[in-house]
Amino acid sequence: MSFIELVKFIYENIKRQKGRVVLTSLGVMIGSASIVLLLALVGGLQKSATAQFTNNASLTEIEVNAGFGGGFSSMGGGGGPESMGSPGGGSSSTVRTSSESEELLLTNDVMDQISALEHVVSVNANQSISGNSTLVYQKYQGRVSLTGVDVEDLSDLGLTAGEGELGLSSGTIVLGASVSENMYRPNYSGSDATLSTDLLGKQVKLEITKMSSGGRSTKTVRFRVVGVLSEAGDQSDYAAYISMTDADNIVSWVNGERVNHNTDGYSSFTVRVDDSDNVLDVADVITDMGYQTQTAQSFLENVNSLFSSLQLVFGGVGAITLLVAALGIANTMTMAIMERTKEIGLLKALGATNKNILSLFIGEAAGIGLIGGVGGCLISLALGSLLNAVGGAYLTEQATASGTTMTSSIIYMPFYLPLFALAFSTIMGSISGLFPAMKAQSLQPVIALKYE
Amino acid sequence: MTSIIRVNELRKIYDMDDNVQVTALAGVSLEIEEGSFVAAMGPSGSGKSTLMHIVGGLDRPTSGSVNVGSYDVTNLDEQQLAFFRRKMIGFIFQSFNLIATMTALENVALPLRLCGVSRDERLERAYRLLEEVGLKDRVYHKPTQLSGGQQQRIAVARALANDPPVILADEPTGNLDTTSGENIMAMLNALNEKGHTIMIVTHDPRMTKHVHRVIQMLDGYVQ
Ligand SMILES: Nc1ncnc2c1ncn2[C@@H]1O[C@H](COP(=O)(O)OP(=O)(O)O)[C@@H](O)[C@H]1O
Ligand SMILES: [Mg+2]
Repeated sequence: MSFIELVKFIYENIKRQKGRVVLTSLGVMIGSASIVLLLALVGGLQKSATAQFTNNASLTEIEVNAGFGGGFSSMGGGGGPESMGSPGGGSSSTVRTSSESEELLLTNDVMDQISALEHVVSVNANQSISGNSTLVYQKYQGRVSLTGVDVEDLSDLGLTAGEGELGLSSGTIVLGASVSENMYRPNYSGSDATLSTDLLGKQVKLEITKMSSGGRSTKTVRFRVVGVLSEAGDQSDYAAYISMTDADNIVSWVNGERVNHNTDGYSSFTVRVDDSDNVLDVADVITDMGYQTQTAQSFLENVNSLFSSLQLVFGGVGAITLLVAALGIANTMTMAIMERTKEIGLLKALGATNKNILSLFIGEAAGIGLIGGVGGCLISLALGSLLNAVGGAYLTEQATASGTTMTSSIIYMPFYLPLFALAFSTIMGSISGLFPAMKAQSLQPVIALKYE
Repeated sequence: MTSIIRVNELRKIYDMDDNVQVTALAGVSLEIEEGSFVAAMGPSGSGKSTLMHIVGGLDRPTSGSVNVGSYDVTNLDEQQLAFFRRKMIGFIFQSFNLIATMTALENVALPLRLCGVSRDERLERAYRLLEEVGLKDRVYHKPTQLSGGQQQRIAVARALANDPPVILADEPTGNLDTTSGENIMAMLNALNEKGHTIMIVTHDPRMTKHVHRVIQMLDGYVQ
C-alpha cells in the first residue's frame, strides 16, 4: 500500500468508528488545549512583566544603593521593577538609615571609583527627599516623589521630554507625565476638582513636611516647571526632578544639619554602561565593592527564569492531562483491536503484511491524536482570543485608571505553540497506539479468524 | 498432470495446559493436481480445517512440509507468507467474513487495495467480479442488507480478486440453504473449469457430486 492509500484507509477506518474516536479525541483536545493555554498564559504574564524593559536606556543602567559591607545579592535592595529606569524614583529611602558604622555610603569618592571602572560611561547621583513632598499649584495639590539629580540634563538619565526641556538648574523642576493630572482640590467636588491646566512654564510650590520633636513643620519652596517627561509607564510618571543644589537645601532642612555628600553620601547612583552586554559584569564589580546594585538586566533574568520554571510547571500540568488522554487512546485502540480481531485475521488472510497492520493501527491512533490536537488548537485559539478580548479590556481599563497606558494581553500565543501542540498530540497518539498495534500485527491469522 | 499442492508428513499438535496434547494432524501426506477440484470430508474434529489453514499459509505446522506451486510454504517468513497468500490463495469462509461497514464493492476490492492497486482499477475489477457472481445490482449494498447466499457470492468474488491459482473454501455452504449452497458449488465448478485448483471442506455428502476427488479424513489422518 502506498502512503497516500494508507492514509485514506486509516481515514475510512476512523470514519466508521466516529463515536469512539470523538470521545477519545475529546480527551486529547482538552489536554492539548490546556497545555497551549497554560503556556500562552505564562507567556502573556512574562510579556507584560518584561514589557517595560524594552527600551534600551534602562538596559544599560545600573542603580547603585548604599551597601552594608557586602553579602547582599544584587537584588537585595528590595526595590521592585518600578524603581528601575528612573533615578531614585519611587523608593524614598533616606540617606541616613540608622544602621551600624559599617554602612558603605555613596560618597563622592565612591562616585569617582565607579566612574573609573571599565565600561562605565557616566555616574550620576540621585538624592531622594524624605518627608512628604506635595506639589501645589493655585488651589490644586498632589503628592510627588521628589528626587534631586546632579545632571544638567535629565536625558543623561535616559529620560525623554514630552514637552518643554530637560535641563535643570536651581529653581526649576521637571515633572513626570502623570503628575499634573493627579493634582486635585482638597475638600471640593465641583467639575474642576482636578487640575486640567498644563503646568509647563508655570510657577509651582513644593511643600515639604517633616515631623520632629517640635511637632510638624512645613517648608515651601518655589519652582518653575521647565519640562514634562513623556509617559514611561512606570513610577517616573509620578516623580518630580530638581537640581542637586535645591535638593541639598531641602534635605538639610529636613535633617536639621547641612548635607555633606563626602560624608553622608547620596541615596543612589545611576551608572550608565557602554553596552548592555557589560551591565552585569560592571554590576558584579560594584557589588563586590560592597554596594547594592539593581539592573533591569538582572531583574529581567530573574523574571525570565521565574517564568521558565512557571512554564515548566504549567506545561507539566498540561502534559499530565495529555498523558491521561494518551492512556485513553491506548485503551481505545486496545478495545478496537479486540473488537476487530477477526477483521485483522481476515486482512491477513487477504494478503495484508504485518507492516500493513502495524501502520494501519498506529495510523489510527495518530489520527485520533491529530483530531484531538486540531480540536485543541481551535479551542485554545478561540479561548485565547476571548480571554484577550475580555481580560485585555479589563487590564487596559485598570491601566487607564491608574494612569498608565500599558496595554497588556493576557495570553501570548506565538504561532508555533499550537503547531507544537498539534505535532505533540499526533506523536503522542502514535506512541499510544504502538503497543496495541504491535499486538494486532502479531495476531496469528488463524486464531484471529476463529475469534468470536 | 503436475501437482500444485504437495503435503508431506504434516503434523499439527496443540499443547494444552496440564501437559495434554491434542493432535489435529497426525502425519498427513497428499498431492493435489493442478486444475483439480477436491473435497476434504470427515467428522468434525478430524483435522480438515487445520490442514486447509496450513496449506493456505494461515497457520504453521508442528512438523512436515507444504509446497504450493513454487512456494515452500512451511519455510516462509511472515512477510513472505503474506505475499504468498496474496498471490496464490483465495479463501472462502463458512461465515463469509465480510466487513460489515464496507459495501459489496469495497469488500471485493479489499485484497487489491492491500496490494496497492489504484482505486479506479480495483473498483472496476471488483465490479466485474460482482457481475460474474450475479450481483451487479447489489454493488453498493452493505453485507447486512444481503442474504447469506448473496454474501457468500461476494466472498467468492473477493477470493477471485487477485486471480489466485488456488481457492480454499472451508465449508462454504455450511451456513446456506440447499439452493444457495448448490448455487455456490456450481459457481466453484465454473471457476474450476476456468483453471482454478479448488479445495473445499464439507460435511455434506451431496456436494461430492461436484468434485473430482474426495479426501477422507479421520482423527488427523487421511484414509
Ligand atoms: N487452537 C486450537 N487449540 C487446541 N486444539 C485445537 C485448536 N484448533 C483445533 N484444535 C483441535 O484440532 C482438532 C482438529 O480441528 P479442526 O481442524 O478444526 O477439525 P475439523 O475442521 O475437521 O472439524 C480438533 O480436535 C480441535 O479440537
Ligand atoms: Mg472445520
